[in-house]
Amino acid sequence: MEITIEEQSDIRIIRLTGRLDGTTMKQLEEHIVQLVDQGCNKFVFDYRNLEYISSAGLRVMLLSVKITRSSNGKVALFGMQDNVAEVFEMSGFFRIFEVFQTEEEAVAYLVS
Amino acid sequence: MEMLSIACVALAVMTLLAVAGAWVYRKEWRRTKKLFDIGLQLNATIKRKDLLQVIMETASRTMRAEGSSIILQDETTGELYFEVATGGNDEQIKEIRLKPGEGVAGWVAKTGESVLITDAQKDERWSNRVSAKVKVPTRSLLCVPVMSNGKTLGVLQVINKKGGKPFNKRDLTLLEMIASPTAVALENMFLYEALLDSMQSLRETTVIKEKMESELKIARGIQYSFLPGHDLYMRKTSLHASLVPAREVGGDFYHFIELDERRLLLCLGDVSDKGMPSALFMSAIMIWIQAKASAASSPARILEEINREISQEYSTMFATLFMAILDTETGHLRYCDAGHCPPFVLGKGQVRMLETAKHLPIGIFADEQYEERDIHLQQGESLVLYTDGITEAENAEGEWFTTAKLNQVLAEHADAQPSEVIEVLRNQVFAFADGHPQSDDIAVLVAKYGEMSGL
Repeated sequence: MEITIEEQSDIRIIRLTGRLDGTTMKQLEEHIVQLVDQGCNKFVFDYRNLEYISSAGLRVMLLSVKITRSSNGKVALFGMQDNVAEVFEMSGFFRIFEVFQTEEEAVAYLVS
Repeated sequence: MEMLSIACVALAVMTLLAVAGAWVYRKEWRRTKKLFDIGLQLNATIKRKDLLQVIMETASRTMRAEGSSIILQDETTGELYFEVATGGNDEQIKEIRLKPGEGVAGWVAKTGESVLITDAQKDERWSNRVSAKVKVPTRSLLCVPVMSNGKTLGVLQVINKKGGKPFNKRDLTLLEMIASPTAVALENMFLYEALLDSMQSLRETTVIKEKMESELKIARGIQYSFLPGHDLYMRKTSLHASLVPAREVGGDFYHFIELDERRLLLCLGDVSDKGMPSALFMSAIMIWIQAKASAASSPARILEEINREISQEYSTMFATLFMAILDTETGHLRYCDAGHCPPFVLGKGQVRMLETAKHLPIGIFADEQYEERDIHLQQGESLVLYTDGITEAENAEGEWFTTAKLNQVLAEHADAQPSEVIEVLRNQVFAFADGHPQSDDIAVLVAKYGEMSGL
């Protein structure tokens, strides 16, 4: 799993490449906790290169929502592949995430 | 006459030479025998305490010395150390350590060269510290390195030749000869100790491992004691459920409860993690299902109440769950989907996915509202609940069993009895995995309405 983080004013764009599962979730969790500690609460997740997400992966995503909620933060996702979208669909996670087609839309949602 | 005298002299010389030769030969033989005996003595034991004693006794006796010591080198620190009896009847042993290079012994260990000191008091290499500690006034001494494959194991030292004379160079050569079988014996001793060490740590690791395994086994036992069993027959409905645990403690579960004489509660779910935390979470859910089932009237209300109990602000532990209440007389099914794999309905050679209203898994937000749907199961139709342990069962190539394959297997056995459906499914999944270890629990529940031929 490869994670790169880009700054765009007060937004952090987190780009994920590979599989987000029980073995890689810890990596992402550390990044998120660190960013929140630095005072960030607006995250865009770039899912274009995310090949797979397990229920353990969903837990980290849930963490990003729970951890930013208390400070009125926002989380947006974009570029989801079909099999990842299926997991979000099946687990009902679409209900707690704002999911967009493009990066521009996702960023625009956080700015609004 | 002259010839005779020459012959006599020659004869005398030859005799002398023969005698001398025999003497030399005998001496050489004695020496060889002595060394051979020493080798035997040194190989008589492998245990540290005994061996060091044997080495010292052998050295003292062979060298006709008043005392001897075998001083070993600590591989990690380079220090030399030896044990001395502290005297008295309690046989207490005290360890003395020398800094690298300290004293004669230190010098010998450092340089790998032997030392002969005829008058210790006049030799600056002599460490008073050692002399004071061993409480033997030292006049003369020999000290040789004990080496094996270029590595210094320690030094062998003898002090004060009996009879008053100091040690000489021939004594030094003899002690060097003793050092060689001593090195072999010490190497054997170290190997033996290393073996004992590794056996001990293996024993300890095994104990810890067995303890952990038995605790996990107990945990699993407790976890599965919450499951209601495998079969239920109620009016026009027969049910079969199965859980095949992965090697690690997992978090799949199912439940069925007879709510009254007609209504049957069914549920099956999957906790989002593995190991102990998920086992505990699963156990809590099982207890809450039991507690909330009888009072609440519908699947959605039961889920809302359980969800309220188990959701915590900063926890990310959750469980996907499908819950239904079936009227076993009429086939009326009310159900609620908390983020779980889509159930199937089988019957009359057909299989279809049950349409649900998707909701979040339980344990995420305490105020989540759940809504339910309902259908009427027709005579002979079955409801199939399962976890992703089936659809994501993996083979050695990393391929998944998939929902499509599940669909296909179910279609081929659409009219089979619940226990048969589950058995076929299990066999198909295991055949697909073909020995590849099962990484997730597999839970399946099949409830068939309208026939009682399972009885």
